[in-house]
Amino acid sequence: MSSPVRVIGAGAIDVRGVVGSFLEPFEFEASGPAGVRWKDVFSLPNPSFRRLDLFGKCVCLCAEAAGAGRLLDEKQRKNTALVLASRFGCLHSDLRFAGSLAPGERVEPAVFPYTLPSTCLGELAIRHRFQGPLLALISTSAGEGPALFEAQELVATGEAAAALVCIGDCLPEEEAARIGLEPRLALTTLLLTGQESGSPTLLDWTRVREAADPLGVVSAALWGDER
Amino acid sequence: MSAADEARIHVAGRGACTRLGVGTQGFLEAIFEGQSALRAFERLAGTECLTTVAAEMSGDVLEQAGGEGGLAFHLAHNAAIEALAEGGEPDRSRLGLVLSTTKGELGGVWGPGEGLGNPGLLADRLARSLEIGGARAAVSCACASGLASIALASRWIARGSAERVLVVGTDALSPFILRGFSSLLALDSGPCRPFDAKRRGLSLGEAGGALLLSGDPTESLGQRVVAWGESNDANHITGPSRDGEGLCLAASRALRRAGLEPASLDYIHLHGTGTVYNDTMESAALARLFGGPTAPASGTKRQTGHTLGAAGLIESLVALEALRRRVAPANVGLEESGVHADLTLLRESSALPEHAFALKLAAGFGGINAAVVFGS
Repeated sequence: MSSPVRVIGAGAIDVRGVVGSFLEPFEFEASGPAGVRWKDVFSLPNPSFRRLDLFGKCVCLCAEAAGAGRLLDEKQRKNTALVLASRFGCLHSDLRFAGSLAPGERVEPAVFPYTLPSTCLGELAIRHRFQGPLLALISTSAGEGPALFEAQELVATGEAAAALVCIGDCLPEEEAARIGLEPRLALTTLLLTGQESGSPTLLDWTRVREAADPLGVVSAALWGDER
Repeated sequence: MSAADEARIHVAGRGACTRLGVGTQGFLEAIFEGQSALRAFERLAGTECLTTVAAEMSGDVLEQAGGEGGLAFHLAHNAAIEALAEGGEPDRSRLGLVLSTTKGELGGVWGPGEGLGNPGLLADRLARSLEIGGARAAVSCACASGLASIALASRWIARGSAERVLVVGTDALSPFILRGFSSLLALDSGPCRPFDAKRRGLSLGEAGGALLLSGDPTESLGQRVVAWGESNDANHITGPSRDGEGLCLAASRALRRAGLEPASLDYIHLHGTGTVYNDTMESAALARLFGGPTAPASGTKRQTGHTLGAAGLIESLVALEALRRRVAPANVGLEESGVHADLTLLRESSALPEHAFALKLAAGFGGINAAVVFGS
């Protein structure tokens, strides 16, 4: 029996850089994703990229690397679902906004909306006119299973024409140290559609879903390694 | 999935922990009597922001919670316990849990504690405390978290992943939240005035709310989740679309799933924050949906404040109670409508038929829109 959905695009970010089905590996400099300009990666200007928080930047880079801006037609975009699974979500922005409330500091209104983990998905929606359901799931353990399943079901039941799933975290060293956590930079995006979509299949969905480490399968395929 | 399949999602239990009442009955009595919990700051006094008004929990609840840091958990726990009791204490080992919250507990980010503003940590704590062993999820979709959570739980039941799911919404106020909204100039200096010509912004509140949903009709209290729909404005991160297209799309999707026309709706419970842009957008969305005068509509944030992750739950309790009582509540504090003339804003409570449909709406930062249709 064929899978109810297909993977037509994928992207991944880790400490090495960003890679995707629509992006040759782009290696980060020592400053990591914080210092990256959109133009450096995709050779096009994108002035609004600068205003994003770090998590939003990583999500948008990873989604673009997966072909989020290229693979779906207008009708599909009208009902493309966005699903996020993350452990730390927007913790980086939480700490930054809290810091701006300290005595003697200036409150940063522009940071406050990014203290919601779903805001990065809103940024994706604005960039690509995605108007489907939006679901941000925050868990303390690996959340990829439920997120992949919910995305699959949204497409398989016809509730969404396509789904862009973003799974992972972006917690820089400095902020992680402040609260005694390990820094983490690992984000994967998958673009799913139904069987009737015209785009070619990138990865076998069943193989991804049933793998012990689904994100490892995606990352290995994109980076060309077997970590 | 057909609307007939989704009609299997029954409301089996309710819980509320709010300033208007600790317990669903007290909360709903206060709402239908037109009371408001908005009053001068108590524990938040001295917070540097554009208002001195909010719907804070009382000092005794705060004490039971062990202070502000434990309040979000306490509100969620109280509401959950009540919903489980009304639902006949279902087997918790297989019960699903969906937690709706924007920030969970902020300790570690703001003040002492280890909550880290992480909804997942709060969901784990709640599941452990209540010994809930089924699937669980923590949903943080801004101010639409509550309806997004009801939609997620309904999907689980509709596709057979769970027989019963407890949906709990909670958020507690703190200077982090108050100053955040204040910095965006989103707060009214006094009590909010949703849909009024003189509205200036929202008022914040804190609460816990819960719904026990079940696929078993013998457990029904008489109301059900008929359908849901979600969308994104894809327009602006903090501002809603001016023409209401996104919210209209979410409501249209819910109605299509339910197999209903707008004219089939008997009541609309509005998101109604009191900000100029939200209320204008919401009225435009409904005018667009109906193509003329809408079904009777009201909102209750003037009474509860905007309780963020709890709002979708406690406001769904109001919509469900309207169906149960066959009475739609009035818009408290509304003097002169300042929104689209086609939005039929209730100035007095209004009778509903025995078998009725109510539409509940929500919208949030990131352009998120959600709609749920309830039926009796």
